[in-house]
Amino acid sequence: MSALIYVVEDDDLMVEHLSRVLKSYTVKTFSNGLDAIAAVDKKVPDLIILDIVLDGPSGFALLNELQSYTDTSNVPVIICSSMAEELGELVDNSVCAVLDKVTMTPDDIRAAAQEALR
Amino acid sequence: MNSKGEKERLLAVDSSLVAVAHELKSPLALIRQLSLFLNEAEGDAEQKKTIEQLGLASERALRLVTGLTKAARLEDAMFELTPVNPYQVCDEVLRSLRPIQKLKNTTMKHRYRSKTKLVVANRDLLGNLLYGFCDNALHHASETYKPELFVKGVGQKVRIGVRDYGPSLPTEVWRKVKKASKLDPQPIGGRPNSSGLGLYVAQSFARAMNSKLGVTQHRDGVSFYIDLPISTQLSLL
Repeated sequence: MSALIYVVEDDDLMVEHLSRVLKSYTVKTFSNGLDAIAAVDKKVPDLIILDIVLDGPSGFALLNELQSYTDTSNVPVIICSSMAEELGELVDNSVCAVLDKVTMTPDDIRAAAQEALR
Repeated sequence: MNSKGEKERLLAVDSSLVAVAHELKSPLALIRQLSLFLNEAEGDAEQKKTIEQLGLASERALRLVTGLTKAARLEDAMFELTPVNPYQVCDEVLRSLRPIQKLKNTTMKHRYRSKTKLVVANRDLLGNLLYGFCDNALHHASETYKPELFVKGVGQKVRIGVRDYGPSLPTEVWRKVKKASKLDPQPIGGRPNSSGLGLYVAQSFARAMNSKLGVTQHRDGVSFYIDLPISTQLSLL
């Protein structure tokens, strides 16, 4: 069975794109952090791909929430943001990779997912 | 308008420009992503070329908006000035311009005539600035007129610039760019269809490196350049 990836992203077209690029995995998508947290409560995914600027709580809020619980603190998280350059030190070691929407390629997305799921 | 009012007006333009740039970043990044994804699929040569053009056009627009957002952060962020090898930066810029050169079926020449090994600059900002100059110059290139990236010594400074065969920049645009970057206006000839936004970004980057942009008009184009101080680090050894 393929790995389960949650994509938390509020841009519908980007969600569709990420799902296409990661079609070899089981991808579930969420447009905001609250829905994603509710889904994590029901089933912990193998990987979360997270945008930072979201409707409602930010990606960082979701990240903090995940780290607060032992069953979710080890879920690998990849940040995928168009503000990657500005994030700098705000991103700590709990994040596997930061993908910059401005410079990333589909291969970068696949490689980051593969690496995080290893 | 008094100087305080004028300054406020310029800052207001800056912040609205930056807000627009932030808004444009996501859709442009998506267009680029989709073109890259499409390019992975099979297709005939014409389709591939169109997709490649789409990707490069979106990258060009993205560079402008990220340049604008970066220019807005220059005051807050640390853009450290260090000894930088200008030839290495120029070579990297030329390498990253290969897809555009291939698509435009032209080449970018280079002429390095300075013995200086190091200048004081920020590598990232200098690379961005030169990339913008070269990219712009390549859009005006032809079989006869190939733009040139040059490095030469000018007194105690090193001049790095691009010989561009495009039409000159409108005097009014240049004046606005100079004014927005708090430098003296310096009239030059007219380049149609240019807002000077790229120059504004370049000017901000130059200022962050304690330098400024210069321009030389030619009968058949212009040269844009930046003068950077020579690093004395090696002489201290």
